Amino acid sequence: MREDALLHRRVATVVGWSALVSLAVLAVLGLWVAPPDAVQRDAQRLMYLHVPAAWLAYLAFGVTALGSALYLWRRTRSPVWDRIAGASAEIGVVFTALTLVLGSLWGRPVWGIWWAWDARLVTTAVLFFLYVGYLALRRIPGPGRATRCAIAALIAFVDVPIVHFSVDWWRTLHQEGTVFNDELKAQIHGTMAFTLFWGVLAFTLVFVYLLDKRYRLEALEEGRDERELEQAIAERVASGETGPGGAADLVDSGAPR
Amino acid sequence: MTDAGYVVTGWVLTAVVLAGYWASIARRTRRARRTLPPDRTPAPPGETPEP
Amino acid sequence: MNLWREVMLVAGKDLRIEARSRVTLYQVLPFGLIVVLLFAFALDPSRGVLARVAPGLFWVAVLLAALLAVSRSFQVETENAARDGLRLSGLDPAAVFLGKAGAIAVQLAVLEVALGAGVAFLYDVELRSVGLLVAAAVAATAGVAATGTLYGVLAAGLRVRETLVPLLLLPVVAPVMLGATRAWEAGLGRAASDGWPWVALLALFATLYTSIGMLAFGSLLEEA
Repeated sequence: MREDALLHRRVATVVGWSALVSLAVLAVLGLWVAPPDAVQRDAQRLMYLHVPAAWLAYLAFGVTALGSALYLWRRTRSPVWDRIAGASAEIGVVFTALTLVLGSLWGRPVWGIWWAWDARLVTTAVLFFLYVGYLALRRIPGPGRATRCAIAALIAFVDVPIVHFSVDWWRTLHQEGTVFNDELKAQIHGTMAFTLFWGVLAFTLVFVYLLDKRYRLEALEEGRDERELEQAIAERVASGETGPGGAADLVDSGAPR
Repeated sequence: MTDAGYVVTGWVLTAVVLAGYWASIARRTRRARRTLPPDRTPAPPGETPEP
Repeated sequence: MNLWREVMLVAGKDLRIEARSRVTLYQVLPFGLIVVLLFAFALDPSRGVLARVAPGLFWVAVLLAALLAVSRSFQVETENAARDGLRLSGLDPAAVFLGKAGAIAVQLAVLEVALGAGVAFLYDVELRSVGLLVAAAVAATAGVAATGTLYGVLAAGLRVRETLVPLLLLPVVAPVMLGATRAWEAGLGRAASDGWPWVALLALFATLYTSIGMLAFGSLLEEA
């Protein structure tokens, strides 16, 4: 087991440094090497962050959903999946927020607007709130936490394509084809395409690295919560207090107060 | 703000968020490790699924 | 007992509780009406604006009232270890889900009729296609009731239930808001496009989340 842990640490270190180096390379590519866009000029350079961040936001969400599903399925049930789901969700909310802000910073100089009601933006905004709800749920301790969170994650996961589809449909019915769709579908060639691809790669490495670190934190905190609970129960029992529910009210699952 | 202003803001913000989030995880991990009983090391995560 | 009888049993229980306590009637409904009134304070009541946004405002008011209805539905289960009773009763969890969701849907239907009348009265709208309006309302209500019941049981035993359920529920039912409003715009003669495809979307949403609810309710009730 010791060797496994050591190998794990080594791989994590390699991934971490790779992520850092690839981010540095991305900065060079995105800010100097890639040419300014014909239409958007230098503002284009925000795309090299915004798109990878969006990719990561959705990737993290997918990982949360996958972890949740694997936790709920009896054959693969394990606290490992629950922790992965929880860790990925926190990373996801950070990058969803970043995606939204970067999108605004990009949209303002190029299209003159901080926000637009197109399917992509609205779905990302809804995704943010779905994550926030999940994290709020995650903060509630107790034996049922993993199941609650897993089901909530899947409910949310199923919702995302519905939101996207319905907003997309709505906008096309209004025949307000947004500039976003036209310009983002525009073909990107050469250095710009490579930079974008590099950005996605770099952010994926960042995700893997952060997921590993956040997973470990999740495992540590779980252990700490359990010990604190055991300690509190032991203290309650030792002090001889036995009211209705005894020490059960220390776990947040009982009757109303 | 000029175009360059937006670009710089975006890239700096991203750097700050990445570094800040990483630091946040690191800080919370240190705090969680400190509350461990002295002779116990945390189990390596991810290798063996617990029953 | 077959599934349908169990559903009727649970729904009947909830509706009987409502009939005796009249909470939805005397508290949730006035709340919905006040919301409708408040929107008029927030917006320009000169005829054009309110009539144009009436469908959206109606559905926002319904959604907010639904939060209270869901909260109430699970509030009644916190007393006298009622949740334990449900768990130990031997009833099929899917039936309990359908029963509770059904009772919520019935109460919401009553609310919608009253709020709809309020909106028509205060905002001065005309009814174009009643069939469309009803179909959309049925599908939307089913979706909201199903999702609300799902989150309601998820949060049932938690102290922060009151603030958590709204946060969880509202983002998920965003497509219902969208679809119901678009369908009602068509039904009230205010949209060029057809409302019926939106009804189909609402029905899909309702079916999907009713299915998820039937599958997941049991596990969530165990943990509650």
